[in-house]
Amino acid sequence: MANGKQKILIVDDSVMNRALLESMLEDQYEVVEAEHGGEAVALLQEDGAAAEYAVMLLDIQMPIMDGFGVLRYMNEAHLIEALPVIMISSETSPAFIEQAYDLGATDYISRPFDEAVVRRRIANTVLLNARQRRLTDIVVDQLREKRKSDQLMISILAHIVEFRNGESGMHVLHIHVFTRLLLTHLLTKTDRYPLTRDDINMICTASTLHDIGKLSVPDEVLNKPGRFTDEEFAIMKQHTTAGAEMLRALPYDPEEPLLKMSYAICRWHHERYDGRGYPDGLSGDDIPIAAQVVAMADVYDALTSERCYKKAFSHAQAMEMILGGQCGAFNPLLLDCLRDVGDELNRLIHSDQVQEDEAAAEYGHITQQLHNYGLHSTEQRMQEQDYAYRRYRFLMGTANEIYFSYTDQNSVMKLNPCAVRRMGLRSTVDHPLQSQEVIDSLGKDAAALIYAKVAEITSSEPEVHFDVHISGALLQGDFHCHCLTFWSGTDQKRIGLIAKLTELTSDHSAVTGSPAPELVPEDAAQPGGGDSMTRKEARSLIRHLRKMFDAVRLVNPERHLEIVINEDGTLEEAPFQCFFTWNRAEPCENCISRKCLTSHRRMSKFEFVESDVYHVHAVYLELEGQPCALELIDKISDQVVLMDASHQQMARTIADYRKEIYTDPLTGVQNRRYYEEHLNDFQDVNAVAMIDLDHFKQINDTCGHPVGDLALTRIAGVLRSCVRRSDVLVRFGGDEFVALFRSMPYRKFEEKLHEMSDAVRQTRLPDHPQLEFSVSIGGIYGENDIPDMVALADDLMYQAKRENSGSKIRFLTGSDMP
Amino acid sequence: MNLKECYAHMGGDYDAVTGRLRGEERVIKFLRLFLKDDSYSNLCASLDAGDGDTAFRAAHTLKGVCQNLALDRLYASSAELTEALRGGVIGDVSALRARVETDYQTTLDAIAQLDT
Repeated sequence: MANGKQKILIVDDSVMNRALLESMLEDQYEVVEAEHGGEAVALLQEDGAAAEYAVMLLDIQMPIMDGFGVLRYMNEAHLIEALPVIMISSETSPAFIEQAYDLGATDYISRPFDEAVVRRRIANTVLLNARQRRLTDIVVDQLREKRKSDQLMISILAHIVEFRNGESGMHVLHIHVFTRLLLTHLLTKTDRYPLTRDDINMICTASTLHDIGKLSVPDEVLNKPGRFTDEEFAIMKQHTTAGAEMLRALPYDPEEPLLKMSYAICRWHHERYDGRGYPDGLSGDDIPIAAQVVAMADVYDALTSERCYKKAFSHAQAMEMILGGQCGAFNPLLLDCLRDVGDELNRLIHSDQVQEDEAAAEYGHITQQLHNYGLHSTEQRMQEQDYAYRRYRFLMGTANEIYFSYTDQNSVMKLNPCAVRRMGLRSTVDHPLQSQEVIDSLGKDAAALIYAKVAEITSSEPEVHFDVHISGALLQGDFHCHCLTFWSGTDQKRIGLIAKLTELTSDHSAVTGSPAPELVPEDAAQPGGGDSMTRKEARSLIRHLRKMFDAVRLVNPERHLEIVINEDGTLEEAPFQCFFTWNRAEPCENCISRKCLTSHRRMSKFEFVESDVYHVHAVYLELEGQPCALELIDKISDQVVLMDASHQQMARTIADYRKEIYTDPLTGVQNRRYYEEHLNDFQDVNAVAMIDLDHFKQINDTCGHPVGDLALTRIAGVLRSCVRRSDVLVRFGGDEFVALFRSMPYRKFEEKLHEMSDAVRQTRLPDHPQLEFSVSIGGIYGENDIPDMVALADDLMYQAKRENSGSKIRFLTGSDMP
Repeated sequence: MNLKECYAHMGGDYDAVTGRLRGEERVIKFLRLFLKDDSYSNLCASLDAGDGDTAFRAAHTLKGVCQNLALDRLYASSAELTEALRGGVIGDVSALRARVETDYQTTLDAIAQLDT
């Protein structure tokens, strides 16, 4: 968008007409002309060219190709949705006009051209199209997400190998850091290997897959603590060729660079520079440099990590062993590099820096996912991306608007040139909150309003829109203020904000030289306002998305129903509930559509149906004012099918893993980790009970631990049968359980706790009928931070235990609040 | 002559054109451009050559330009000729062509006499 103007394409064979239109529009738009349909088509043929124009003005009668021809081309090339067309023919017969509309024209301007009409019609069409493009943006965003999730799956896959391998989750990260550091240094030493930055990035990504072949190695060999027999070693060696074959079997072009690179690394990361490695016995630079580096990284990390068959060596020892040739044979150049970067490597890999290192940041995230394949970090990543996108769109707004940004850390406000000019401020202002100049430039009331509005913004709703009357020294009038804040992902502190002021009405063209405002309908001055979509828009959006996703549907998460938009534009609720898709009889525990409805944020999760893995995104939408969620569902297996066997294995592994990390292995209820990691997801919890098994130590001491374990398992089962499905039961410590109840009436809470006590009292172990059980329960009712409530419940439980009173319940009171 | 007189002479609608194009200055600019517009000469040439399709498009273009500049008289005759040529078959259009020629000439004369 050169000089901030939007582009208009005028297609007319008459120079006079083009000149006339240009003279009407040139102050507001950048005009591009085409003499006939053929020229217009040529202009549009380039990729993305259509999107450069805000609108096309199209004549009908033209040589070479007429207007209908252009419309037909645009339909075939699917450009008609991207670029609105206004017909400008002097043909006035209804048949012509109708045909033009049928072919997708948006509007028809008849001759003679009236400047005011032409400008208004074009402004309206451009606006309408901006909305349409916003929908397209959603599509494009989703494409990016899709690509991201492909990468995510690669990482998950790499980590699965590590689980089976019993290696630490850091292995992939270490290989990544090592590979990047060494390759970057190598480039400064020699030009023997023509690598670009992109190549290095790609090699680092590919390095994460170096051991996928280990999926084919049986567990008993892979995790054997002692020395391998010759036979076992032969099996182990096959992981190189097996990994390479897996990649070959992918339904992608084997010449695709990332795949080719991964193949080389998988196959040759156990080759030796002296030719004595495996599987192919390559030597010297016959081994691709990427595989050479990954081989060295692999050896280094194996040495410095603890494995089932060995202890960890120190960095210094590992360096000595590699440089001394005790562990493999490497390219002398690489050995030099290792010597040079050794200290930095040590610092990067064996300190917390790894997490902070910019290059490794992405993998830091993925390592987090080790602990939680599901949501947290994925969502966080998406939020970050969402921010980036919002910011980008925000900045893409039209020129001649006042922008300023503010950074919390150093309290600096920066203004764009337009703001400098119109507000009479310098482009950088320190401590603007205390600056009289800033207050004067806005007027006291406006400054106070803006400060107040900004202070109210929270990380959960980082954007705010409001109107403000400004009566500053220079700048005066009614403005629309759109403010976007940025928050750190970790501690939820505000990092800064960016705001823009758009004038609402009145004539300011003298000051800014911007387009005459009377041509712009009023709602245009409220960017981002009214994200509601019409049925037609939603239908077309869904149609687009269906090309990219395995399933797309609109959901009303309140009613758990799918919304169907029929051909004729009527709305209908599907006759079955949305969770049936996932083979569930009840709403999903983690309903991301509901979450996205409350947060207005994009959410994502994994769903498992038998052996298939699905990646589900939910996007907030308003359909004619009604909030609903757009669910985009991707079957991951189609993306990352390695081979049938390993795909199923992967699905099982992920499902098992989730179950494993969040379930207490003894009792089968949720574990402490689940509680800690999902703390923020527990909504509507208004009652918490701490439940402790009485005299448990005695049972252990008199009957032995196996009986104690049996008792715990049985009691956990009894307690679980007392809580509702929507509640959460966690084994909190040895014989302590915590129950979190959602939206529970007080009377019901009391009943529940008694029910639990009674149920436990009636429990018997078949082989030890003499053993009797009882629990002490502390219950706290009210809404507060869950950890605080748990602590209060814990106190009550101890009181109950001391008084031997079974259970003790009370309401949360003001004095409990911090 | 001034623009108003010029429009009267050509059989055009002065008020309409100055209203639509917002002022005389721009109208005068486009009238001068009209002198260089080749749709009329294209029309004559293609009629002479018997090229019905091109003749139709040229007449059509001329009509459209006249409409935009509110050159009503020339618009009327060129519109009639356009319809006669629609379909690309040149029938007996000599009378219509003669009218367009006359109107076009009148228009050119008037524009030429505009005060500079």
